[in-house]
Amino acid sequence: MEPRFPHCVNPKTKPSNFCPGCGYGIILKTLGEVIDELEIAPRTVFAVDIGCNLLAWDYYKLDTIQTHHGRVTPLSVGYKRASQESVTIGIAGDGGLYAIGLQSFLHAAHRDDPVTIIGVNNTIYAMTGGQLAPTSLLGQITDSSPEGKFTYEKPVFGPELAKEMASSKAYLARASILNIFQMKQMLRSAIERQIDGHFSFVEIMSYCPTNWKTDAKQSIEALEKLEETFKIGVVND
Amino acid sequence: MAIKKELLTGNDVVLKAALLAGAEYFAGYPITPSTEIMNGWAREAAKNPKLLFLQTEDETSAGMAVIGGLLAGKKTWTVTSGVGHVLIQDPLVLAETLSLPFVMYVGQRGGPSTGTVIYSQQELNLARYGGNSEGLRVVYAPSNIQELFEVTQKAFHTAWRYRLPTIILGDGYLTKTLSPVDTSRVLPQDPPEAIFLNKEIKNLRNCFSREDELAEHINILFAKYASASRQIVESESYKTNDARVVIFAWGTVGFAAKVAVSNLRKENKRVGLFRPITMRPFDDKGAIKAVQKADKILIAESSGGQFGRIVRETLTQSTDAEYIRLYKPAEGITSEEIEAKIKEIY
Amino acid sequence: MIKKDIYKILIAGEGGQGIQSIAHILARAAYECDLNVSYMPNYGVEQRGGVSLGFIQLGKGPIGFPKFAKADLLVVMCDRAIERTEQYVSKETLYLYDADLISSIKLAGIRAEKLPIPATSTASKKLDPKVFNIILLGAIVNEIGIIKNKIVQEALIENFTDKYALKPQLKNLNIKALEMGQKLAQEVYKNDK
Repeated sequence: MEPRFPHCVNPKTKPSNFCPGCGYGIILKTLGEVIDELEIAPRTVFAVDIGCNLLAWDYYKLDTIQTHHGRVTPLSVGYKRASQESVTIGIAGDGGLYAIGLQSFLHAAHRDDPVTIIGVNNTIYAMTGGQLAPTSLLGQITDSSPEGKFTYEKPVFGPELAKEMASSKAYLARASILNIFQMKQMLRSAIERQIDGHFSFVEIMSYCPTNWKTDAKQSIEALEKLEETFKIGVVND
Repeated sequence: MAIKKELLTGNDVVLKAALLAGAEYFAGYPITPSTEIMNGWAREAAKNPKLLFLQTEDETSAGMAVIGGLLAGKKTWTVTSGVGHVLIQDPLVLAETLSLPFVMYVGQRGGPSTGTVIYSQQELNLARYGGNSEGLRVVYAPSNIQELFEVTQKAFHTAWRYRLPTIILGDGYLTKTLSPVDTSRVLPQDPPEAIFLNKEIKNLRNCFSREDELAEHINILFAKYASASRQIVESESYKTNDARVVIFAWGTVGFAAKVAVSNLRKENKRVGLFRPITMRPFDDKGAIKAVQKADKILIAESSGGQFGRIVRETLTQSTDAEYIRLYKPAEGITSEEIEAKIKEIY
Repeated sequence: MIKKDIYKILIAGEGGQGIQSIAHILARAAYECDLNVSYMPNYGVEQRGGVSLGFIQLGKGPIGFPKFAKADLLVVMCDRAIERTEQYVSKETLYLYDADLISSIKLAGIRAEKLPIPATSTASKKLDPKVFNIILLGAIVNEIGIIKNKIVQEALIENFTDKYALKPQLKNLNIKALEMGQKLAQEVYKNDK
């Protein structure tokens, strides 16, 4: 029996190239459902970063552009300004959004640019093999923090940070792939906020079995533990 | 057609020409000496709701925003200089691989690094091959304000007709100088078309999994570039037919050289000038033809040899002439200096 | 008076002394006389407080480059500009300077014909301190000789249209300053004889 995909997902480019057990599968499928339900596919434009999400360049039957690392936000902002009737959604990881792309991310919030940014947070630079990220925890062992050296006192909390610069009308939230229903509601609210003319951002906590070197059970447990630090919920509405 | 003479700065002229070319959207970041163009655009956009304006947080974002505008089908452009020009190479190579009509004015200033805020010809390498580029872009080099007016319009036309990132490579002196210019000639332009939300769905990537996939993509781009080059390439050969000494110069130094040649010819000196108008694609054939009778070649530029290297590479098997260098990195070169140098060597 | 295909004029002073204003007016006037003209302001990195230069070239001939090596007419308005503009002085340069702001001792090393204009004191005593730069403009116009007075006056008016709208009395003040500058320049020659 064929798996049922949302209509805006491109079945020809499946199976996709994500690692087995990757959170992106859940995220992208859920986002697809939201796009279907809101009936916005004909006017949706999708931007992906260079990180694991680069693999999503042909995931959807939607106009998609794969940008440079960290440049999803400025491209989405530039596009939306010239295409105000569109729904512009950009996706990046915690490196693309909180390191190289942090400046643009915060300034888009500051300008209240009406785009929707999705930040997939697995506390690691996954595509490049598992390096320290702005959201890595103190003592976290990665390729560039062997034995837990060179780590930071606390991680970057994206939605909370954006709140400092964003308009009061922005929608900022943190979801988790462990609660798909809530994640879906947040994605929907975010897109609706964009349609209302404001900046919207959903950080989604996700696991990376490949770089975390965890099996299914361990991945879920590790993510549950992370949720103690990265609080799930709406940050600004 | 009647002449329309105006007294304008280079900045004014770039802005005016861009608007005449149908520019609708400007995304940029302030940097001397090009900032006035952005300010001018902001003033126009404040008056005219059809014009879009975005001041971004840095030049890399500006370039990415330009790409966004192009995907939406707007004639989008920017201006920059110096280290801003360095940063904007990141989005520029994305435009290169996606064949987008990214138009940019660069007012060269001193380098390397922050250098000076005003003048040089040191961004030639950057404009031609900056970033991890294969040079799939067009670079126009105006030599005076009249040419700046014409070439800025031409840049938009070339970019949109041939789908190539196109740079107008000026300098801070040209940008800041007030000069008479005839603004009557308007170049007809192609209408823009949106790439996204228009006709079939497009999934655009710039990253390839396999080397051969990328190679195939690049070779297609090279073929398109070669074909377009034949229509785009442009240069000026001034009094080179019988010239014993040929000066190679470009941009504002090129115009100084032209005046120098004109003066020297009055003294019966057989001097000529080869002045490229497109620095990419480069008129190899024109350059080779210009030096046929030359036994000396004087290369004059306000850099440490960025142009000289191109000249020598181009002429390598086509001349035995002796090369003389008048290299003044980050400093201007006047007609008088060129004349004096010629008198030394002629 | 200088007779040339292209006159090369360099005006130098402190930022805020109104150099760019008079350079602009001069360029405009030359343009209105159907002359070829090029005017380029040149500063350092500082927005304020550096030496401000204005390179103006005007005349019937072609202008090769926005800057030049040696000035036909150099106008110096402050001490700091002396050193800054030394490289532009040749034996043929006419060195015009504000005699109140610069003492001739400081110019001992300059080998050029000097033209002292007491612009600042004349402005303070007879007109208004603010128009000392227009007095210098008058002297410049006198030295060049190829730009008609009327056209300079019109360019002056055009440059300060906004200011004149608020304070109409400035118009006559500036015209008087212009005339005064021309007279002062002529007097220097008379005194030499």
